[in-house]
Amino acid sequence: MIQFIRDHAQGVISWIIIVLVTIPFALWGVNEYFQGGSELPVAKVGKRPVSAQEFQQVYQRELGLRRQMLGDDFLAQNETAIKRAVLEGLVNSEVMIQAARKAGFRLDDARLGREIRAIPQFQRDGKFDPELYDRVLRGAGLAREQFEDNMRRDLLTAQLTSGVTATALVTGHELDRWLRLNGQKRKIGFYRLKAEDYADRVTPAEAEINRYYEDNLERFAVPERARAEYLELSRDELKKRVKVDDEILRRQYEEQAANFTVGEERRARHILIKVAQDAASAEADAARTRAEGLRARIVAGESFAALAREYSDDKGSAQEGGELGFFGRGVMVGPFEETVFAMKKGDVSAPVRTPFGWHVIELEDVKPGSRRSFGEVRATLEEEYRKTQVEEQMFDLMENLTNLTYEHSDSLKPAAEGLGLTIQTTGLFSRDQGEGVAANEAFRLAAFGEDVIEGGNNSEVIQFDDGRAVVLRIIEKQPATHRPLGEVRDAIRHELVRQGTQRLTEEAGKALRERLERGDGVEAIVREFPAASWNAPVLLGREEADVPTEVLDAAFAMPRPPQGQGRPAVDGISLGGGDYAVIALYEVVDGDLAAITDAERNAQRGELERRDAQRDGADLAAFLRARAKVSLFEDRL
Amino acid sequence: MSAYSREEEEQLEDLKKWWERYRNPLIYGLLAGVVTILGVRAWVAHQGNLAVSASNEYEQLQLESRAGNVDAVLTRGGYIIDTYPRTPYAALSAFILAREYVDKGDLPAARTRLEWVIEHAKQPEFVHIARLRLGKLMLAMGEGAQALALLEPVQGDAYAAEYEELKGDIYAETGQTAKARQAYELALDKLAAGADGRMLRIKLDNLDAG
Repeated sequence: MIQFIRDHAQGVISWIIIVLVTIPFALWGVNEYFQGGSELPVAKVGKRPVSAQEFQQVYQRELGLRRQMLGDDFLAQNETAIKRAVLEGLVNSEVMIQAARKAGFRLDDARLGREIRAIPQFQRDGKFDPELYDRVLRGAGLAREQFEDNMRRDLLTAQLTSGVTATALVTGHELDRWLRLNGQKRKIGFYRLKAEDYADRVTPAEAEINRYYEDNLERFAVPERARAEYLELSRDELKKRVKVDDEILRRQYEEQAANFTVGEERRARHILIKVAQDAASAEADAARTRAEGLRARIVAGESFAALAREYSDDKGSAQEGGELGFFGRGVMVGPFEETVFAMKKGDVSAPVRTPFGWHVIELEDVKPGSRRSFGEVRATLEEEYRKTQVEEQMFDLMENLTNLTYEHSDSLKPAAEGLGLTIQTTGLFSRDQGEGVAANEAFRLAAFGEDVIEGGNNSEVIQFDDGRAVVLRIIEKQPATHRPLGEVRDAIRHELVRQGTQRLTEEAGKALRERLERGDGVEAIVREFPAASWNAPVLLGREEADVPTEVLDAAFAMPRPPQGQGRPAVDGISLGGGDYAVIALYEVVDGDLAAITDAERNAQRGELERRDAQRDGADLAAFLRARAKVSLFEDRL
Repeated sequence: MSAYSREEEEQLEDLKKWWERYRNPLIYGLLAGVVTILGVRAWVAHQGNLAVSASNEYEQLQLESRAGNVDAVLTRGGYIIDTYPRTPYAALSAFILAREYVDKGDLPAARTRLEWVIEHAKQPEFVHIARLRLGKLMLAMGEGAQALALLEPVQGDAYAAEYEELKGDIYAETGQTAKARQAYELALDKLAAGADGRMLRIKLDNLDAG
């Protein structure tokens, strides 16, 4: 045994080494699983993080869309809900693409190219134009790789989903069943008992009204209310008080002169002879010679525009005859700008070197800079001045208001006198409701703070969103109470009559229903229940305008009448408004397949297919989502 | 100093011995590693090529299907299933074929295609869909009992509402009203949020007590 091990020991160790050396190779390629940004992701699907940047991009686009669609209503939308929805969407599409890749869906570059070339936005005159493609992508702020990657993802996902949704099956058998069911008609008659016919039979006694009042006291509750007086610092109000005269504004005008000046602008055209920045000097010289040659031809009388179209390497402007339009300082590269702003109108410059190459420039027009007059900007200046004055005052005023109302916490008078404000008063308001200044929740919250309502002290300074600042104190308190019985007696009586009437109607309806079930004839029943109106049996479809929907829905949910007894199936339901209906179902007739046109048949088949397709798609997404490993980090949104 | 260098010499000697002894296994190990990695890469590349070819064939199939070119669809669909059975395109082609056959009224042929998916597809989502469609087909072919045997043991997961509704249809058709009611109610209960339950409700309401 020992001898055996010794003989084989070397072999065993060798094998171990072979295996150890092999393992790292086998694991090669694992690193690609660990790629991804270093920032904190907002979600993780499988091993792939969904980055915050990706999320922001989609979220901002979504916000833009909603703003466009909803206009001002957009503000009312719940931000968190939108964020969640966007995140869900991102995660779900990531789940789909991962599932598609895992299932083995593939797309080669040739196919991707075919799809992209077929997109009309990238076509000119019906043919794909690579330049247009690049331009559109740049306009959308997308890198080519990014767009192509997105496109590939979309196509792969579409292969997966459309493969399922576009193949929904509807058998003829299934369609027939549905047509019979959907086209079903029911022979229905019904009695309607009107609540109003029973109203005069209900007269609630005083004791009943009292009991209702006691039992439902909380319905008549009046919350604690209060009245307050307050001081208000309003920026709008203060603005009006700022003293302004022309002298001050003139000074402002001079100080801010730069803001009211529009710089000079010049219009030029150019021809570019391209030279790389680091080109050899021989090459640069050759280009310069060509540029000079062109200049000479222009000076000799040839058309600048025509030469630009023919020779300029700036393809964008060449088509416009080299035209660059009006531009101010700070737009063009240094040497170009200096030249243009040193030229005289109509001049053609000697070649100028910039990082792009050699330019020949013609100055076409000059729009001199201008300064807006004092009169034009006076209103702006005044508004500006008042605003800054108020902001400067505001800080001191707030501090004074705080100090004065704090030091004299039992009165607003010292602060009102010190700051030149008037004490105003509110009407009654509760914790939840108020008018005027008390419509503001912050105001009510402060008013019902313990130190204010119980302690009788001034509140702290409350800042409103619109820039106002307020201090208040309570001048009248009304404890929580109930509306007195006298005030609500009529309302209670009304309610009791309603309840009683409904009960009576329902009781009568149930009695009527029993008669009908027993097999009594219509005439006997009508004689016994004069208030009931009888709607004689008619064959009805699922949608009939002149029968109450509640009756129709109930009739189509009733079991079929017992066969061969000549008696209807019976049901009773309460209708809105206290009425009661007793329904008699005499016959159920399935839809007649022979009477259905081909068009109708096809329409219904389409309906069934769409429903199946929609469900198969939704279920597929839900199925894959449930199987994927997804973590959401909503706190990072 | 000399003691030190002698020690060093000894170490060198040891190292040489070690190398003599383990040189071969090391080299074999490296070779095995390289062969493995090349093999795996070649295999992956081969699979990728297969999938791409299948993808392009499938694109053609979709175009032909949309154009209503039934003969071409039947030929190409069969070809994809036979040639690329391990790609997902085989299952999707089977779905297209099943639909074409149903439209032609050839239910047994449609059935064969769906059964192929249930047996061979590696994606459980496709198997669910194939099973649901097969169940409908069997009901249409008058094999309600067999269809129930196919559907009942299945855990439906996200497809639960579809399974229950189909079971309800089969029960209703075979006069098992109570079971049909139970199935329809379960289906309504499992319906995805926002899904349209009108048709399901009509089917449920139509059941008589029993």
